[in-house]
Parts: sequence; structure tokens; C-alpha cells
Amino acid sequence: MRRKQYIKHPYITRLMCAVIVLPLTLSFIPLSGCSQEKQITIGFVGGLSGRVSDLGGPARNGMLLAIEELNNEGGINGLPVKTLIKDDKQDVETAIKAVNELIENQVDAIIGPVTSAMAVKVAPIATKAKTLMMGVTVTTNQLTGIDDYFLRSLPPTTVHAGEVADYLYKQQGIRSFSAIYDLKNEAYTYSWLNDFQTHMEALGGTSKKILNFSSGSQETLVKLAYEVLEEEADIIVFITNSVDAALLAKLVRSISPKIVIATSEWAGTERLIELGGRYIEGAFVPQYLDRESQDADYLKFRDTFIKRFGHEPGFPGMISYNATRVVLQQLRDKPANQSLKEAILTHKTYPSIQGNIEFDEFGDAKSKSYVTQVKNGRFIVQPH
Amino acid sequence: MIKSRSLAFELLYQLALVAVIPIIITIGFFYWKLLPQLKQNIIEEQQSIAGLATQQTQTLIANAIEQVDMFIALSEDYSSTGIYEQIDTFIQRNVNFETIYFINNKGSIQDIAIRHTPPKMAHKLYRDMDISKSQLFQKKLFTEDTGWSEVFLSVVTGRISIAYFTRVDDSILIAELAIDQLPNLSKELAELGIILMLLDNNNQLIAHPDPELSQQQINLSNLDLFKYPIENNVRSGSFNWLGQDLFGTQVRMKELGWSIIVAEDEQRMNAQLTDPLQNMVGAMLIILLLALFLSYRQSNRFNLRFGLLKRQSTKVAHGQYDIQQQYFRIKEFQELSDDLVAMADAIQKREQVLHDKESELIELTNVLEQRVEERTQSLQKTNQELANTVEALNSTMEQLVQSEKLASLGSLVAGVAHELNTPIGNAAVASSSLNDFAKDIQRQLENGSITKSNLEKFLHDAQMASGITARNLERASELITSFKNIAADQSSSQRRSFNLKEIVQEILMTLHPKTKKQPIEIVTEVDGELKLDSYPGPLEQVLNNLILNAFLHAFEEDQTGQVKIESKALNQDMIEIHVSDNGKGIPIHDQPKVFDPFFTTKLGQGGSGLGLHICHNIVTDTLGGTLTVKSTLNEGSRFTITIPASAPTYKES
Repeated sequence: MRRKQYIKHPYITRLMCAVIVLPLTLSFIPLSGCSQEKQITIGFVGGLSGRVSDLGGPARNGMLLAIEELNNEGGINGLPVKTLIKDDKQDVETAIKAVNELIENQVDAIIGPVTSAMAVKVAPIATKAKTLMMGVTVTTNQLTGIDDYFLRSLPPTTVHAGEVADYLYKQQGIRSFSAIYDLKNEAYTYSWLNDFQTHMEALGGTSKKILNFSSGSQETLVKLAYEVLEEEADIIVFITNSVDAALLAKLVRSISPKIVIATSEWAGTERLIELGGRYIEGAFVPQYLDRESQDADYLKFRDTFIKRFGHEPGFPGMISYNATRVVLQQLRDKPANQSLKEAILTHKTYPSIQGNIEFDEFGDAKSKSYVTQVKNGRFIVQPH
Repeated sequence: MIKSRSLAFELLYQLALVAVIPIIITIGFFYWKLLPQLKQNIIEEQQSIAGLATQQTQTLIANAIEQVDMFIALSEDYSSTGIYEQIDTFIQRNVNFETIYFINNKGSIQDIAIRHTPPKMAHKLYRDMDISKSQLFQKKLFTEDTGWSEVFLSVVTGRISIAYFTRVDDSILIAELAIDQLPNLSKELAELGIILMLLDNNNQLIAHPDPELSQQQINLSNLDLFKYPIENNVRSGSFNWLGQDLFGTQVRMKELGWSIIVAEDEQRMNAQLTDPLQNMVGAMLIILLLALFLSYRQSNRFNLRFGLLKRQSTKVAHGQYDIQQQYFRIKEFQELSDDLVAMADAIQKREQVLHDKESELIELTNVLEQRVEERTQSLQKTNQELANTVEALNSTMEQLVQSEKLASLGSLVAGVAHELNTPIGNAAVASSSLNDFAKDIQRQLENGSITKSNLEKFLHDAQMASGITARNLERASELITSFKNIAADQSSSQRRSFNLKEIVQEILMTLHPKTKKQPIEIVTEVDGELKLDSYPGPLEQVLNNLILNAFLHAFEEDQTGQVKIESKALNQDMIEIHVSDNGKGIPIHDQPKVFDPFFTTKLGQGGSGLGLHICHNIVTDTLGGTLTVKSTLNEGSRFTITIPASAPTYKES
């Protein structure tokens, strides 16, 4: 009887081995330890805090939305696209550091920055590293016509500032102007001012007081308000961020309530109206988007955006969304032997929310813009 | 068939099993029981951290409210124009606030103080600012008297803020709190690898260990964490944020609707979870190895001892009993060894006894064998003698048979002589009478006394006498022919085709002299068509015997009776002949013996006791058939010969 206990079938022995070895092996594998293949990573750099965060925040969110939508459809090569986000705080040193970090992390493309001041400093870094950089709301002429790795989905200030001047001169009968511009983003502001002035003068208008300041020094704003009103002009143009524009509008209109004011596209965010209130009513603000559009694509985009982030996309959100989609489309579709930049420029035309984006051979794009007037706290597109 | 395994292997195997089973159980226990428990612990730990953070946040907020309320209570006339200086004093003292301002119902700033900004400058810049279009003003201020705003980008400071607002007469006091104050509470935790995040009710990031992130207005509503079900304002799960796999717990604050998320690196957490297991398994593996080593060593030792004992037992098995006493430290081994020695001893003794008994047995066997031999010889001798006797008997029987044959021949001859006697006697009488007649007529002729009538009488008498003579001679001739046939058949067992009926008639004719003396009727019912290809002589002998037997034995003297001879063809090949009588029958105990040689009821009265035996032999041997008898006492006997129509052929002997 006892001997019977020693009968062991071979498979039982094997089973025992499996039972022993399997958990032992498993226990040394981390619970979620699946090694991942190389993923596509998109870097972002832009002012996410401080006074330009009304550009940077929505711009980042626009990028995130585009990527999240793509990831929901399966990402690229079956893997979700990752993001690496850096805040440049509208500070050159920080921006350079941020871009260098992104390049070190071997991002496949960079979305940003959101201001020309940063762009002129970091574009050469990206070019040197041959990393594609897709600027969001960068319109300085300084980067126009250069065959580098910096691309943007917006035309340079030459186009827009010219259009604004044209509109004001022709439609509003503006003949003379004064301007205040921010030295902190001189690459954009000066470029814009220059284009505006050139166009205005070409049309026969004249410039009166041209003043500048560095954003952040609040004392100067009051002084500027008085100073700019010293000479009479048909319009005062603020080439500043939204907060400064609102404060200046309040100051100027407190002194001279009837004065006509305009801003550059930069200030054309929701914050201008939030802070400007009644002081910004009637102001002319060029825009990269038509907020009142009833276009289904736009409404859907806006709706999704608000649901996701709890605020309006504004122009930075939409531009960033469009620009990111261009980059993602080519990252996904480009042939292996083609660089991302080549692919984007070869394909040239891309559909976007509100009009197509068309790149020239230098990576500068043509896109639609609108002149709006603030009425009852809304940007109302003016017939052109 | 059971395959035997070595002790060493078995011990190793069993010990390994003993070591492995707890490991398996432990691992199983770990995976099914401990791991979820540990995870639950982590969740609970995260919850308690979140609870702490909630408390801190709420304290911070409560403090802020208290400060503002105190300020309101202390400032007697806050609607007066000089109020901004008071606010400024307050704000420079209370580090929590970035800015405090009063707005009127239309959204215009009435008075304001901003941290790090000269009061007059703030006053100049912001007084009368219209913030009626701001998120803050639009969303909440008109619906509630006092409360907290959602997170918003402050138009005044340009920072992500939350604001406490409270209605004071016709104005609303707004105290903005820069949320980058909050992360301080989570910095210590961050050093421990725990991420603590504060989210507003729109899942916008308010506070994070990295203050930069707090300022970025990051909306986290797409975190995978929020996909897990929420229970009692708490949920836990894995999620990815900023490329990092995290495991976290969200605890929602009831009043504000804000959330605290406590998260940690999932991989690190899992490592924490599995580390104890790995250590445990490591330790167990060491134990396993140790156990294997020890069991190997132990099994070797056992092997050595068992080997020793085995060699001894092998020796014993081979009949070498001079095994040495061994000494072991293990009691059982010692006992086994002692038993082995004792066993060897006992076996040896028993073998001696057995050996002795064996010797006796051998001797006994020898004697027996001798006796058997002797008996065998005497038996053989007896047997030989018996055989000789049988032989003698057989030869005697042969002689008897021969003499019987001769006797029957003699009787036959006597019969023949008797049969012939009558016709020949008649012929002799007739011829001598004729001679007498002839002499009379001659004398008369010589006498001349012859008369015609005398002559005519003489002629008549002469004719009659010669007729009688001729007839009787013819009859004698017939008899002789018949005898010649029987004699020929008797003497030579000639095989031929013959008619059964003819044979029977011939027999009856030859038997007539003997049968006629008794008042017994002979009935024959033999089919005249029945033809046999057989040996008529032996068959006649058999029938002759059976009929005579009936006459001799079946009836008392002068008793009337009947002897019946019947025949019938059983089929084409077999023929049955019955010889039956209605005599006294054969007693039942004699019936089996009737065919035995020398069986007779008339011993001493002329019966040899061989007749039926001979018949039986002839029927079975020569004719290839069977002879049976059926008899009932006082009713008669019936002998049945069953023979083939065509007798078997025999080689000449």
C-alpha cells in the first residue's frame, strides 16, 4: 500500500516545476513592467505664467487638444503621442534653457513659443539641432524668409499690420496715429509698428507720438497715458499684451473718454475685455479668428475646447491647435526618408479651423485674419 | 509497474517539495491576499495625506476668511476715499493676499491695494477699472453674498488666483489669494516622492509641488484617474500625467468642490509592493538551496548507512552470516543493524536445524526409494506372471475356440450323416425291395408260373421302387450340395455378395435335425431383396449360434415357443438382424455378462460359455458391426446384429 504513494506521473512533476518556477519568475517582473517602444514626443515652450499666459495657456491647451484627439484615434504607429511642456515665463534665458531641454529630450517637434521675442532667440537653437519648431503666435518679420527649422502657421506682421492700417485708413477715416509698444517683445511689437507705420504712411497717414515701455513697470503706464495724449491723433495704437492694453485704455480714456483706440493682434485675447471692460469698448482689435463664426467646424472645436479646458480657445488656442495638427499629420504620414520639415513644406496646404494654412518655401504661412471692434464686450468682425 | 528510485533522490525530492510548497503558498498568499491589502494600505495612506492636505487647505482658507472678516470689522468706514491706505496696510501684513479691492455693483473697482505695489500707484492704475466682463464678476458675484471663486487668471495681478468675496454694504470686497501659496504644503511630500496636487472644481490645477505648474492653468479633466468610479468623494487608480505613470487617490472637498490628488510613481510603488515579495522569495530560495544542500547531505549520509546495512543484508541474502555488528548514532539504524545481526544469527540457526532435518529426510527418502524399488520389482514380477497367465489363458481360449469349432464341425458332420441317412436308407430299402421283386418275377418266369397280372404288378412295383430310389438319391444329393456350401463358407471366410434370406434358409435347413425335436416354431421375416456384400460364413456361424442358443437356453424341455428371425434395412448402408425368442429371458444381472468368454448357465451340461463371445467377436471384428441383447425375464430375449451392408475390408492376415 505504501509503495503506491510513490507513483508519480511525469506530467505532475512537470506541473510542479511550472507551479514553482512561474510565480518565482513573475515576482521579479515589476507589476507594470512593460517596456515601451520609442514614442513620438511633442515639446511645447511658451509663456504659461505671468502677463503673456493668456497666449501661452490657450496655446498649450490647443496643442494638447490636437494631441489628445489624435491619441484617441490611436496615436502614431499605435502609440500615444507624448508631450513635454516648458514655461518660458516670457524670459529669454528661461526660453533658451527650456528649448535646450526639449532638444536634449529628443522631442520630435516643438510647438511654440508664443511670442516673437522668444522666437527670435530660440529659433536658431532649434535650427542648429535640426528640430522642427512650429511657432504659435509668432509674427515677427525678423523670422520671415529664412530657410530654417522654424515654421509658423501665421503670416508675419507685414501682412496683418498692413491690413489693419488699410482698414483704419479706408473704412474708419483714420489719418494720424500715436502708438505705444512694449520693448519686452520688441521682435514683434517693433516689427508690427514698423509695418503699420509703413502702410499708414504709404496710404497718406501720419504718425504722431510713438512711445515705448517695458511691461511690468507700472509707474510708466500712467506717465505714458498722459504723454501719448500730448499730441492729438485720430487713433492710439497699443502694441502690447492684453493687460497693459487694458490698463492703458483705461488710463487714456479716463483722461480723454472719446479717443479711438486700437491694439495689435497680441492683445486680442479674452483678457483684454475682462480687464478693459467699458474702457476697451469700440477699440479696433485685429484677430486671427472670428469668434462669432457660425461655421460648424469652429463651433465644434470651440465647444470641445471649452469642455476640456473650461475657457475659450481664443486665437492662441485655435492657432496652436491648427499648427499642432499640421505637425501631427506629417509625423504620422510622412515617408521615412523625408524630414518633418520637408514633409510639411512639400505638402504645403493644410485645412484648418477657419480657412486653409498655406506654407511658403521658408515655412511662413498665409492664413486668414480679421479686424474686429469691441462691442458689448465682444470682438465683432468688421466688414473689410 | 512501479519504478524504484534511489533513496537519495527521494529524500531530495521530498525535502525540495517541503521547501517549495510554502514558497508557492506564500507567493499565492502574497498575490491574492497581501498585494491587494498593501495596495489598499497605500490608498489609505494617500487618503490620509489628502486628508491632511485638505485640512491644511481648509485652514488656509479659513484663516483668509477670518483675516478678511476681521479687517472688515476693524475698518469702520471702508467706503471713504482713504480706505486704500488701510487696505494696503492690511495686505502688506497678511502674506496670503495678493490684492484686495472693492467693486461696486457695476463691476468698477472702487479701491484697491496690491501687494508689492505702492498704494498710490495701484490706486491710480486700477481705480475705476471695469472688471464687469471678468470671469470672476460674471460667474459668481451676483449670485452669492460671500464665498470663494473658482480659479481664474487675475486681471489685476496676472496670476492664477482664487478670490474670497464678501458683500459689504453696496460694495463687494474681493480678496485674491495667489494659489502659488498652496504648494508649500506639498513640498515636503514631494521629497518623499509623493505628488500632491490641488485641483479646483473644474479640475484645473491649483497647486503642485512645482510652483511653475500651478501657474500654468493646467486643466486635468482628461486624467485617466477621473475615469475610475468615485465613492464617498474618494477614488483611486493608475493614470499617466506628463509622461509619468502614477498611481493616485483623489479626495474631493465637500464645501469647495476642490480635490486633492495624492499620487506616486506607479513603478516605484509597485517596486515597494513587490520588494517584500522579492526579499521573501530571495530568502526562501536561499532556504530552498540550503534545504536542498542539507537534504543532499543527509541523503548521502542515509545512503552511506543504508548502503552498509544493505551490504550486510545482501551478505545475509547470499548466505554469509558472519556480518559484523555496526554502530550508529541513529537509534533506528542501530536497531536495524542489531536486528540484522540477530536475524543473520537466527537464520543461521534455523538453517542448521533445517540442514539436519534435510539429512534425515534424505536418508528416509533413500530407504523409501529402496522399498519402492523392491515393490516395483515384485509388482513387475507379478505383472509378468499375470501377463503370462493371460497369455496362457488366451491361448487356452484359442484352443477352446478351435475345439468348439471342431465340436460344432463334429455336430455338423453328425447332423449331415443323420440327414443323409434317411434318403439313402430309403433308397437302399427301395432298391433291395426292387431286387426282391425282380428275383420273384425271374423265378416265376423260370417256373413259368408267370402271369400277366403278376408281370404287371412287378412292373408297377419296380417303377415305384426305382422312383423312390431316384427321389431319395436326389434328396441326398441336394443335401450334400447344401452341406458343401456351408462347409465352404464355414471354412473360408470368403467375402461375396449374397442374399440374406438364402443364407437364413440354408442355416435353418442344416439346423433342422436339431430343431425338429423341440415343439418350437421358427418364424422368419427376412426381406428377400436384402443383399449384403459381406462374409456369409461368419454371419452364418453367428446366426447358427444365436438360433441354437435360443433352442438350448430359452425354453424348458418340451416347452412350446417361438424363435423369430427378422431383418430390416436401417438405411442403405446398415442392416439390422434380430434373433428373438419368447422364452424365459436372461436374468438382469447376467445380461452384461452374456458376451463374456466362458459365461454359461449350463456349465457341465455341455455349454462351453464361448458361443456368444465368439459371436460378439465375429460381429464386431469381422463384420464391422455391433451385437446387443435385450431381455425381459419370462418374456424372452432379443439379440440384435447391426452390420453394414458392405463389410469393412481387412488385409489378409
